[in-house]
Amino acid sequence: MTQADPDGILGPLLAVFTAEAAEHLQAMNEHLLRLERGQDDPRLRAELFRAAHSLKGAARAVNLADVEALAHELENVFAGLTDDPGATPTQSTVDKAYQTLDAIGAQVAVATMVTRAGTGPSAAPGPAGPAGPSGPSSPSGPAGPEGPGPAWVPGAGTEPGTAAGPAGSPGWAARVAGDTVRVATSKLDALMAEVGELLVTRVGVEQRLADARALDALLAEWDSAWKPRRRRRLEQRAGAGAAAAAGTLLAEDRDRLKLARVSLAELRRGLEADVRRMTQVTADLQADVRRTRMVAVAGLFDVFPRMVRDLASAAGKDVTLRVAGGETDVDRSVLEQLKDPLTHLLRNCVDHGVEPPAGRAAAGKPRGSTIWLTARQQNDMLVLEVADDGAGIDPARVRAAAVRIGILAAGPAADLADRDAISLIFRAGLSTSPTVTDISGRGIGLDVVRDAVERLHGVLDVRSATGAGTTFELSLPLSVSTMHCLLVRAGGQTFALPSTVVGGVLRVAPGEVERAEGREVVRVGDRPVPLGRLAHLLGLADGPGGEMAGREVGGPARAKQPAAVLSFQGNQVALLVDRLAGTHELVVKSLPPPLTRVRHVTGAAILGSGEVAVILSAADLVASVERAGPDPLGTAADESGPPTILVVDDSITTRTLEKNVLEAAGYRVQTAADGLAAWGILRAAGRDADVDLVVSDIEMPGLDGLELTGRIRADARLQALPVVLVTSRESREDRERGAQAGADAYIVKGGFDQNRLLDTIRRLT
Amino acid sequence: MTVPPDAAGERRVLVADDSASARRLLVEILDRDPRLRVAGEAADGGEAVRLTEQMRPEVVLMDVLMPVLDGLAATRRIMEVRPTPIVLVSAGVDSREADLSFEAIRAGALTLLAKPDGPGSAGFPAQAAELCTTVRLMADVKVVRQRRRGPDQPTPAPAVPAGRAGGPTGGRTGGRTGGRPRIAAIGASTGGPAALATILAGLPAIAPVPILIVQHITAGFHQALADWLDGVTPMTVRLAVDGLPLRPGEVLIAPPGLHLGVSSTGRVTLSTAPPVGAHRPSATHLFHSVAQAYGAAAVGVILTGMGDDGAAGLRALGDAGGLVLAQDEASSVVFGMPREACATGAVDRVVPLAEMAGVLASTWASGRRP
Repeated sequence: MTQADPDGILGPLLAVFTAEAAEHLQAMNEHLLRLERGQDDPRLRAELFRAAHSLKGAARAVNLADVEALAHELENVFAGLTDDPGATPTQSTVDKAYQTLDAIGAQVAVATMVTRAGTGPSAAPGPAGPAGPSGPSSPSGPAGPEGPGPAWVPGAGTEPGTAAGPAGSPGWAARVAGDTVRVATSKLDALMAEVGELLVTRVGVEQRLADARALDALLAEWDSAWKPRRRRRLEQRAGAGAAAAAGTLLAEDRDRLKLARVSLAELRRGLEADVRRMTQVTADLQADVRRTRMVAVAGLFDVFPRMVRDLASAAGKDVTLRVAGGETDVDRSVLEQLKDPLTHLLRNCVDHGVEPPAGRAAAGKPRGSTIWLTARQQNDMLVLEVADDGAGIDPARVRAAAVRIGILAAGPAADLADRDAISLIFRAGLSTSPTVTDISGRGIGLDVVRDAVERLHGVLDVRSATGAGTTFELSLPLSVSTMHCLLVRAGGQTFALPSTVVGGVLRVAPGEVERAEGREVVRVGDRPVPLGRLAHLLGLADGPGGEMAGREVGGPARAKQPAAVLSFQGNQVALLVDRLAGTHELVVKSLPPPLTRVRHVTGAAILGSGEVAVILSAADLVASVERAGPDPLGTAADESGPPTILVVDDSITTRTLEKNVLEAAGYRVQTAADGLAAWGILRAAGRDADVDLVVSDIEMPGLDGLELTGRIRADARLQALPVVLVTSRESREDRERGAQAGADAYIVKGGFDQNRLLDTIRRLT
Repeated sequence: MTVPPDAAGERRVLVADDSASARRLLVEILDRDPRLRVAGEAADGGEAVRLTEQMRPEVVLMDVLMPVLDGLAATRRIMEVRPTPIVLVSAGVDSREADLSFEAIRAGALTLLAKPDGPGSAGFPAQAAELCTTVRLMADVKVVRQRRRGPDQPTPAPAVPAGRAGGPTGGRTGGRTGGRPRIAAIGASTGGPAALATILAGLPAIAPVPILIVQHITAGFHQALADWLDGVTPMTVRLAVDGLPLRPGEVLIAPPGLHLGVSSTGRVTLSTAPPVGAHRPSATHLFHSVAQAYGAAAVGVILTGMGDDGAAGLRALGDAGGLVLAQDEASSVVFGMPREACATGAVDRVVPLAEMAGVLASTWASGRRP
């Protein structure tokens, strides 16, 4: 049993161990894969043995007996392989080895977590507090000067200086061989944040320079204009004699003014030189710090061959993953956020993209299928591609599914180009609705991918050729710390739109606004693009000149109004704004909790003026504009205030919980204790329903959730009302029953996650 | 053992282990000892050799299974290019690793320790203390450049008479009853495994007597030592078991934590009597026991090693009429135990390691005292 760690060694040691264990596990996974593929040689086997052996020793060093035992088992298996190099390992041996690797991975994760929790502040990772440069082990180090040092140090002559504190840490850094040091990523993060602050300061200083220039110009103008004017006035009032006397005074004034101008010019020149230098230095500093945070994507890619192997094996498919471009560098924080989306895409390729061997053979393709995962740098973007040689996405089926769940009418759906139709698979409705995943075959999890890419201010694209395969392409900024943005003014505030999603800017004359499908559109090139007003979408009053007058008959002809065209996943919308305020490189601040997921917003940046500009989410804006129509009355949907949600649950706890969550998210909430009560509220509300969405439990006395849904769908006035069922039932049958009853979404309580609920509601309202 | 003038100063250690965690643990342990300072770290055997040349540490603490060069190959290189005291650490449970460790000792590494358990475990304080003490002691051992040569190649140095053999008490040899010895007992410590291998491999045939051995070694390596020695001689080498009848041609190693002795009826006795001078098993205990049971019909041999274990026992054995041999200084890794034995005056003859097997063989072949 692990005892306390009086010497404070274990905490830092565990951090080393975690990294080392990950390396060994990764190496063994790769070697096993190669062995399995027949790339067998004695060196490979020896490497397997050595990795298991090292892991065993490492586990021993941190007292993880379970891991040590498992590693020992592996060591024995691999020893058998090295002792008998001619023998081919059986499948069961290999499978067992994989299982043991997984078990070790799980043990390591648990153990390091438990130990961190158990050893208190000394082992807790995170920002270095008062601990200073000595690293994470300070507070609970050995007893301090009064203690003679660790009890087991032989010989009592330990000096206080060596005993107190983690004397080993600085020495450790200094001793590392070669010209590299390991630095905690938290330190790099802190460095990057400080560089960010510096950049903000620089923008401020640039602003001061602009102020100085303006002041200089003002004085110059005063100098040239003030004197003659003043003299003229003096002559008019006091006559020429007095004017001559006053002239002396004026000359003195003029001298002072000149002096002030000279001083100001010096100040301005000094400022200009300083700003130039500062710009240079901060740019270099930023680039260097950014480089220190760059890591090769291989670190992430390495886990995928094994994952694809397991998935393919479970699905009865023969899949080879080919990886290229692993050496491409990307910011560490970007890399971390890529794991989930790439996992989803690869899983999707294996499960839905590639066909079973028999199907491929029938289609005249090789039985084995291939998935490619590639990375490359293109300008300032990291471009990742996940491609398969499977059956491709059938645009006709996507169109049909889109029509079925009502995100498109049949007419427009038919008009959609294949490429645009395929892009629909990222739409929330298509990717989350349980009723269509089986039909589209590709929808599941893609909203996760889309969200992640969007958080990184990237762009997600999909191409597919029927019968030949599908390619997902993710383009992401290499670094998330700064972003090139278009600044716009709307509703009296400044907003930033990432340049990656801005497809262009327009000046829209009132007469250029057309109507199509019951909503306003404007032509971008030849294409009609839905038009929205940024201030309205954000619930702001119009700023000066914000009202587009084209709609009002006989209204005064107004000047053209600027608009930004946003492109997101093949969808374009144009947003009217009050003013375009230029493009800028902004230092992005992520939003603190609880603001991590606010509609329309992905982050914030501080401008040179000190003003905070909110960085807007292209995905949300595009969705909002599209959702606003068709709207025959021309009234914007969001003018009626926040949507109202009816929460139906017989448990007061659940009801209150959901009410609080939803109200915190800005919704109005009504509650009902069972289906009958809910039905009463809905009936009374009638056509002018004050209810925009229903969240209902399934199991309830009287009228249950399924029956309630059925009644809503059967009612002519209520049939379009979105219904979300929240339940503890997770079986496929229940899901299907919910879908048959007409529910729009189905959330299982077991995994109740308020973000999931909020996301779902956001998509449906 | 040679003690340099700055005996009190700290010793610079090179730590070599391919596991970052294991290496970090060793470094943390050593750095907490004011007598030691970690001067460098190597992640494989090749780096260990290179850093030993560059940084000239006073002692190398080295893992056995490492990439590039393993502990054996690294030991050989270090002993060729820059002879430095080497302490091996090994997980030890695996026989291939143990064999590699003992071969490394044969190639010049001084001693072998078990890898310590993690901090917080019950055994940690004692293991950490043992590690520090051993590394510190080994740092002062003078090691010489090793040339690749067979273990049984004779050295030119002649057998040197010492102790009472050449002294005024030398006449005692003649007073002995003679007769063939019926048992041999050997005590060894630092450098012992290699010396034992040399002797056992050098014996011309299966010994007509049982051979009992006390070798100081970290717990956990006794069985591995027996297995390894078993591979260098046609005789059977195994751990002693209490009550086992002694058989000629069988080599018995004292098991961990127990004193090895013999009964007058010719059986093994293992005892939990208190450690003798911190050692259990102790060579002194073995020699005492053999002196009591066999008296003049016994040969006692003290081999290379640090400390004084065996000296008192050999004195008793000598007094009982037994033959006492000691390894000479030139061939000893540490001439501590043989020196102490010589100081008691009990040693009949000081023998170079390469000749020890021959001397023993002639003793029991002819029954004549050398």
